[in-house]
Amino acid sequence: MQLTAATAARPAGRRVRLSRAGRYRLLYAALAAPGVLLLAVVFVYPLLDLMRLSFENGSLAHYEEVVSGGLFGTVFWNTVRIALIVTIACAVLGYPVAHFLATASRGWALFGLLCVVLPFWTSLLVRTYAWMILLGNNGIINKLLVGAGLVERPLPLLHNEFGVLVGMVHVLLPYFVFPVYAVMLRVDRTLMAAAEGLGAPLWQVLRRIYLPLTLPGIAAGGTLVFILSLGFFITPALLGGGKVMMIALLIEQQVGQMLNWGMAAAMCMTLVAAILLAYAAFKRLGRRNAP
Amino acid sequence: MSPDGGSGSRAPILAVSHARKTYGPVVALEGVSLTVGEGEFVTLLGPSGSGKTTLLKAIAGFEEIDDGRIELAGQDITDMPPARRGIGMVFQNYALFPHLTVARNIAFPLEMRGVARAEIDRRVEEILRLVELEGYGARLPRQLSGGQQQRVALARATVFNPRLLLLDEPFSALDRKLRESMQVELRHLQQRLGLTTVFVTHDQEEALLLSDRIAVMNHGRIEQLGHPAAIYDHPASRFVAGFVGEANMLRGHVAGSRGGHAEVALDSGDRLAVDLPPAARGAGDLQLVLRPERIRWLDDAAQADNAFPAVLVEHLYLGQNSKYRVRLASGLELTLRTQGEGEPLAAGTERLVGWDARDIRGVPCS
Repeated sequence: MQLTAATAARPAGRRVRLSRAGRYRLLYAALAAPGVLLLAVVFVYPLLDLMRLSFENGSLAHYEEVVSGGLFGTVFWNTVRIALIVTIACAVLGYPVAHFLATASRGWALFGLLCVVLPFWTSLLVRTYAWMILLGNNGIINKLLVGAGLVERPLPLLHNEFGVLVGMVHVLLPYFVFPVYAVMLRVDRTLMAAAEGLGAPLWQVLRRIYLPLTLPGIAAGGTLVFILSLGFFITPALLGGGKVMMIALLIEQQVGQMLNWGMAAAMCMTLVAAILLAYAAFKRLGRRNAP
Repeated sequence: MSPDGGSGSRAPILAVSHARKTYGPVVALEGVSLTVGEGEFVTLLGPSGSGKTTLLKAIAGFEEIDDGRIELAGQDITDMPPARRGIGMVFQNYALFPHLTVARNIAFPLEMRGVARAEIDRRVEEILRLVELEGYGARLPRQLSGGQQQRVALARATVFNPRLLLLDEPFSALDRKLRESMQVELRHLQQRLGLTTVFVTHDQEEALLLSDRIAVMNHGRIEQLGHPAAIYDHPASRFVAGFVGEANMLRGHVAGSRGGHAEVALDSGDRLAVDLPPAARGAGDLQLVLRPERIRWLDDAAQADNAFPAVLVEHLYLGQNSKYRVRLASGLELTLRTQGEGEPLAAGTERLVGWDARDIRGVPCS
């Protein structure tokens, strides 16, 4: 079957002699073509079009406005700050979870994986609304706290940065856990035993051996979470209640309310540039410390 | 337990008493006791599942024992975490830290002990010279060959002057030639540094070559503990006789005496003259061990205490020696080994084979 496919991939009518490896390369290219084409149409073309829009009339006016305008700068750095907090929170919460999954017995590991995966499979919108129910002034948490007499007035948990952070960490945690888990599975357990036997207390085993060996996973998970955070929309929109401004919200505002496509496009391009930069930085970190 | 040949006049460094360990229904260690004297090289020899690795891990602290006691230099370490035991261990896969250079790997135990930087550098240099890896300090483990990695692991396990060195089948991944040279190197290093060593292997040749004493393990017990020669020449059980070296296993009972020896009637019907300790003479069933190299070709039946006409079944040429399978008139098959290339005999050839009464050993019937 592979053979016929390879023959079909060869241009008809012409007797081109291809090596076996060459035929397979052609076959793989043919198989990948539909996907590449789809990406080109629905992603690369709009992106290029946005880029064209951002340089409206061949001028850099929009970029000047983006860079000099106070609003974008404020929102941009606010977004970066939130993304960093979310990434660090995911790392602190996710690292032990990944370790548990990688070392637990089969039954516990399966249970743990389900706990991580089930929310992951649930619609983002549903989960975000669930947090609104939990965190609202009349939400479960505040009702319990007030009912128990621990606080007099409901705590402000929703429609502020705290609510946004909680929601984002919850949504993005699996993106951190999985790459780290995958790396941890491959770490030879006897290395930790060896370190211990050589006189290392547990925290030294972690600091000197386990952390460096799992750093590629941390870098991969961190990259994913950070980059996804930069462009996050639904969660900050709903849990922030319009009070927490992030770039994606700002762009949506430019398009939906101001109808300023040029401005929105310039912001998009700046965001893409920031994401590529962040990606390169994390990649470097992961490679430098790869075992 | 059989007499263990003793740890000599040397003070015991390691004393394991009545160590017991079970994994669910599986008994890994069944009341094992063992003492190792200062500077002594003791090998735990046994098939997989015999408990030898479990015992080693219990000594290192990576396995908790259910019952029993482990002492190191007079101190009870049964419940001590591995990090505080001060024991050096070489793992089967070496367990070198892949992200650290050779020098940093070796420095690790010294750093954990808070040794000053300059002192660390000096001792790492010194041990690298000792294991003939000078100039390799800046390399990563993956840039070394298997034998070199092995030496780094050994250097790392000994650089902090451990009270005890443990080795878990360290040569199993090396090819034969390299393994033999590493074995000699290990023995030299061990003697030079006076390291008290417990070595685990399933390779009986390696055990015979390296050890001061061997503990042959089976089913979570030490079947025999003694000098290599004692293990080989006086196996305490059928298992030891079969596991260490090759053996012809014969069964029979004492049927009388012949020329100052006991006469044993084998189940096959053959009658043999055997040197038996007086205690064994009255016993009923006997298990006898006859090493293949003890059997000789004879020209004349008077040349040996026991002589039998035999037919050659098979000749195996092994280079330095030759192995023959012969069948006696009774149908009993024996393996015979000669030094040198041996005579190229055709199957079916009739020859006289024989051995002396002292060449055969009795072991307890099981």
